[in-house]
Amino acid sequence: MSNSNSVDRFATTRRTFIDASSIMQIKNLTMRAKSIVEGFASGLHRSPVHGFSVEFSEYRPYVEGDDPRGIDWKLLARSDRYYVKQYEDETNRRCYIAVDQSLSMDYGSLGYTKAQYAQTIAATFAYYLTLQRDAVGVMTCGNVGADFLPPRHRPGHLQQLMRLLSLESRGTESKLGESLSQLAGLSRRRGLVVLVSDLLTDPESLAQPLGYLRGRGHELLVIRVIDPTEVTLDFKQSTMLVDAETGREMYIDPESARREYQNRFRAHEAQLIDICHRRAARLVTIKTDEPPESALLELINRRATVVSPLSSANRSRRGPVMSSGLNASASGG
Amino acid sequence: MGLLAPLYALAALAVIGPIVFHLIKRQPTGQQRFSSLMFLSPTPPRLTRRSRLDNILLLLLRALAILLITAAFARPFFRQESLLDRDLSGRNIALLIDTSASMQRADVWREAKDQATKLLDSLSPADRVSLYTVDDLLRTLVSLDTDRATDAASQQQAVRASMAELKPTWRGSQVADGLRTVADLVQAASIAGRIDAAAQVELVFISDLHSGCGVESLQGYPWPDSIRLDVRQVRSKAPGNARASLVSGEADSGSGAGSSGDAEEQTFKVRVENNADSVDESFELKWMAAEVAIAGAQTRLQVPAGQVRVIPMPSQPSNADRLMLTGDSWEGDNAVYVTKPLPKRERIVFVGEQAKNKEDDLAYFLEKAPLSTRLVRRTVERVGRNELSALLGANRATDGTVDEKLQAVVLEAPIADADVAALRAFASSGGCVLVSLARPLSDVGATSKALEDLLAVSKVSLSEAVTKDFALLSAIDYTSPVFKPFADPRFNDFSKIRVWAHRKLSFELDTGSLDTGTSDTGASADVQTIASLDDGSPWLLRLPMGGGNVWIMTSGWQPESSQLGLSSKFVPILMGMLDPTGKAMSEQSVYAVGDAIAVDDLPGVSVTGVLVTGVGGDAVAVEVNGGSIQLDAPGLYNLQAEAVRRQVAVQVPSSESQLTPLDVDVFEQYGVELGKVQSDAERKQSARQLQATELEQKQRVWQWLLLAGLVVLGIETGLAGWLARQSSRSNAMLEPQTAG
Repeated sequence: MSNSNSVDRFATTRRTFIDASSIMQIKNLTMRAKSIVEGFASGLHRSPVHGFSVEFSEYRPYVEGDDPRGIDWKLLARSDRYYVKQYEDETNRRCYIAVDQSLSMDYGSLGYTKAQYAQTIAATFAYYLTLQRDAVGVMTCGNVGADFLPPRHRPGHLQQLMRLLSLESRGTESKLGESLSQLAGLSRRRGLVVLVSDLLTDPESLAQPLGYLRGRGHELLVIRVIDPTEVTLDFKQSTMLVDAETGREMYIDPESARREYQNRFRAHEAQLIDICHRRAARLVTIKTDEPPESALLELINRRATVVSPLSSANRSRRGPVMSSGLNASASGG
Repeated sequence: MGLLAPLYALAALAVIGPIVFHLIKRQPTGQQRFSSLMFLSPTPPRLTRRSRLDNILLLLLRALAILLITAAFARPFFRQESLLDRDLSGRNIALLIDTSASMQRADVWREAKDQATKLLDSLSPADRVSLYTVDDLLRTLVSLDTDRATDAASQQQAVRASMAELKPTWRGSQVADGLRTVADLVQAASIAGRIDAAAQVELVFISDLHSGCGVESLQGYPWPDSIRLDVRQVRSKAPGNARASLVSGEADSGSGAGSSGDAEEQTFKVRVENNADSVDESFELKWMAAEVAIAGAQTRLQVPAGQVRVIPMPSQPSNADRLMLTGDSWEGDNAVYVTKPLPKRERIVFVGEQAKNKEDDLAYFLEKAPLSTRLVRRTVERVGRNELSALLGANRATDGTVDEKLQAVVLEAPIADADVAALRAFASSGGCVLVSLARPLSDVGATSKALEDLLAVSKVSLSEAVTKDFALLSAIDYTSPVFKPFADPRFNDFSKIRVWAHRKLSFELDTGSLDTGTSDTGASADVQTIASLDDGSPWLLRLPMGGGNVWIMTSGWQPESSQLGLSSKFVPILMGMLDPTGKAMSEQSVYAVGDAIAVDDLPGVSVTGVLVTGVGGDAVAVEVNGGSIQLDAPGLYNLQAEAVRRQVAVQVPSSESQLTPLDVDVFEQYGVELGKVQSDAERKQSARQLQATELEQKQRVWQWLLLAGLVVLGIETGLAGWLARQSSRSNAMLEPQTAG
C-alpha cells in the first residue's frame, strides 16, 4: 500500500460530505470530531486505523499485548518468529495542532463562529491522528491563558485534548507570530505542525516563525479558516462595522467598499501563499460553510506543494530501520 | 379661507428640514461586529434609489405632521363674507390747529396744512369734522355740533374751505386752554345730545408744540376718558431760534426842565437768548430804519446754544425804529421795535416874590431843577399873584386839552383868599399845589385863614419857629411817595439838610365840608404830616384831594431858609410831590401782540375812537373795547386821538420765541390719553380683523388641525419604531456568535 495509491484513490474519489451546519450542531466536540472522522472513513475500503498513510519503519518482536493484526505473517512463515511491523508514525510521529482563538476568530455569519469551526477541525485532526496512534499535542493561542498540551499517545490524552479544545476562553489580539515562535521552542522533536487560524494578521509576521518551525524539521500545514462574508463582504446595507480585535469603528457602504475590500483580501491571500511557499508550508483555505471533512482530506492528502530540500534530506537520513536484516522498505504498505 | 396669524404659516418651511436631512444623510442601520477592518477604508454615505424608497412614507408622515401643526398655529378660519363687511359708524373728529406766531415759519405751516389735508383725506364720508384754531384764544371755525341736517360730507367740505383760507397769527400760544375748551365743548355737546354720545370722539391737534406753548396748564385738568388726543407735531427743518429783547433804555437828559429834549442820548442794553437746540451761535444786532439797516450801527456777538447774553448797543440813531437780530433760523421774532416816545408837556406855575438875588428866589431853584423826563417835559413859569385865579379858571375851562397841561402850582405864602377855591378845585382835578412858607410871614392871620380854607381845617396856628442854629428833619414817613425812594438806609440821611428858618404850624381837623363852590370833595380833610422837624413841628404836610394833592412846606428851599434847594434830595422830593403815583415815569409803550393797550388816557377816545397808523403811515382800523385796543401784528404804531399822540411798540410774544420742541409724551404726564386717528381704510381693516378673530374663535379649526397633527406624529412614531425593529433584527443576523 502506498501512500500515493491511497492518496490517489482518495484524491479521485468523489466524496459526499456532511454539510458543515449539520455537523456544527453537534454540541459535544468529541462526538463532532468522531462523526466527521467516521463519516469520512465510511467510504473507504480499508479501515483508516490501519495506518495506510504511514511508511514502514522496522520490525520488532511481537510482545504480548500487541495488536495481532500487526504481525507480519510472511516473515513468520519465513522465520517462524513473530514480528510486528513498526511504522514510522507509530514510533515517532508527532503532530502539533495550534488553534487560533483570538478575537477575530470570534466572528461568524452562519450561526457558529470561525473559532468553533477551528475547534472542530482541530478536534477532528486530534481524533483522527490519535486513532492513527500518532502523538498529538494542542496549543491554543490568541486567548487569555493560552495552553499547551505536548504530543502524547497514551490513554486519556485524547480526552485531555478535547477538554482543552472545548474550554471557553476569552480571546485577545492575535499574535500568531509569537505563538508560533513559542511553539517552535516547545516542540523539541519534529513532527507535523498544523496551524488552524484565520491568519488575519500581517503576513510578514508569520515568515520568521514558520521558518523556525521548518528549521526544526516540522512539516507545516496551515489551515486558513475564513467566513464566507469575509470573502465577499456580503452586507446588504451600509453599517457601522466594529473591529472584533481592536474595537475600532468604521462606517462602510458595502456597495462602494466591496471592490477594494476584495482586492485587498486577495492581495493578503497572495502574500500568505507566497510566504507559505517560501517556507514549504501547505496552505489550505477553508470556508466555514464547507464540510470540515475537506480539512481532514487535506490532512490525509498532505502532500508537499513545494519540493523541499529539507524533506529529501530527512528521507536519506532515515534509511532502513530494520537492523534485523529484514528488507527494509522505504514506504509502508 | 383666511389665516388669523399668517406669519406662523412660514413655519411650514420647516418641512424642508426633514426632506433635506433625508436627502443628504443616510444613517447606518446599526453597529455590527466584523472580524477585522484591515482590508477596509471608511466610505461616505451614498444615496441609493432603493433606500429613498424605504423611507418615503416616514418622510411624508413627518412632513404632514409639520404642515398640520403649523397650520394650527396659523389659526385658519372659513370666511363668511356677509359677516366680515359691516358698515362702520361715523366718528366725531375735532381738529384743533395751532395758529400762534411760531407757526409763521413757512415750512412749519406748510406741513401743518399737509397734515390736516392728509387727515381729511383719510376720513370716511360718514365722519363729522369740526375745526378750531388756537393761539392765545380759541376760535371755532366749524363747530362740532353743527346743525344735524348738514351731512358729514358737507361739513368736511366746510372744513376744507376754512383750511384753505387759514393763516397763522402773531399771537402767543395758550395750548392748554384751547385743548381744555375743545374737550369741554365736546363733552357738553355729547351730554346735551347734540352729538351722538355713542360715536367715538377724537381730537386731533396739529401744532409745533414748542416749549413756550403753555401746555403746562393742563396739569390738574381731568381729561375726559372718552376723548383720545392725536397730537401731530410739525417741526421745522431748521431747528433752533434766538431772540433779542431790550433790558433798559433810559433817558440821560443833559438839560433841565424847559428844554425841548431833542438831543437825547439813550443807552441800550440788549438781552439775546439762544434756544438750547440751536445750531447757530453767531449773531448780529443792528439798528434799522423801516427795512433798511443803518450803516455803522451794528454789533456782532456770540451766544452759545441754551445761553443768554446781555450786551450794550450803540445809542439809537435818530431815524432808527427797530433793532434787528440776524443769524438765527427764524426771522419772524427778530425785530425789536423801539418807540420814540412823544413826551407830555406840563407846566409848573410859580406864584411868589421875585427876590433880588437869585439865590434867594424860590423859582430860580425850580427852574434849575431837572424836573423833565423822557416822557414828560416840564416848564416853569412865573405868574403874578393876581393872575393865578384867572389862570386856574382858564385851565379848568379847557379841561386840560391845551398842549401843555398845567400840572402844578407852587405858591409862596401868603395865599390870597380869592385863590383858595381855585387852588382846591385845581388840586381836586388832579393838580399839584405846593405852598411854601418860605419867609417870615407878615400877615400871620391872613395866611392862617387861607390855610384853614385850603386845608379845610378848623384852626391853623402859625408862628415863627425859634431854632438854635438850625433844625433837622426827623419823623419822616417813608411810606409816602415823596420819601419812599429814600427808605433805603443808604439814602435816608437827611442830616445834611439843615433848616435855618421855618414856621411852626398847627391845626385842628374840621369834619365839616368847606363850601368852596366846587364839586370837589375835601369833605374828610385828612391832612398828613409827611415829615417833621426835630422840634416836633411839621415840615411837610399833605392833603390828598380828588385826583391831586395840596402840599404845605413850612420852610423854603432857598439857602436862606434851608439847604433843601442845594441838596441832591431836592429834585426827588419835588418829583415825589409833582407825580406821587409815578405814572408819568413809567408809561407803558411796549406790548406783545394780542395785549390790551389802554387808550382811555387819550382824550376823546370814547367819542372819536383812536387812529392807529403803522410806521409806514398805513392806517389800521382798530375797534376800541372797554378803553383798550388790540393789535394783531408786531410793529411800531402811532396812536392818536384828536391832538394827542402816543407811540407803542408791539412785539411778538416772548413765549413764541422758545421754539425747542417738546416730546408728545408730555401730554401723558398730564393724564391725557393719547391715540392715533385711524384712517377709514385702517378702521375697516381693524373691523375685519376683529370679525375674523371672532369667526376663528367660533370655528376653532386649529384644534382639529392640532389633533390631526398629533395623530400623524403618533403614526410616524409607531412606523419608525417598527422599521427600526425590523432593521435591528436583520442586523442581528450579522452579529457575531458567542464562542462555544
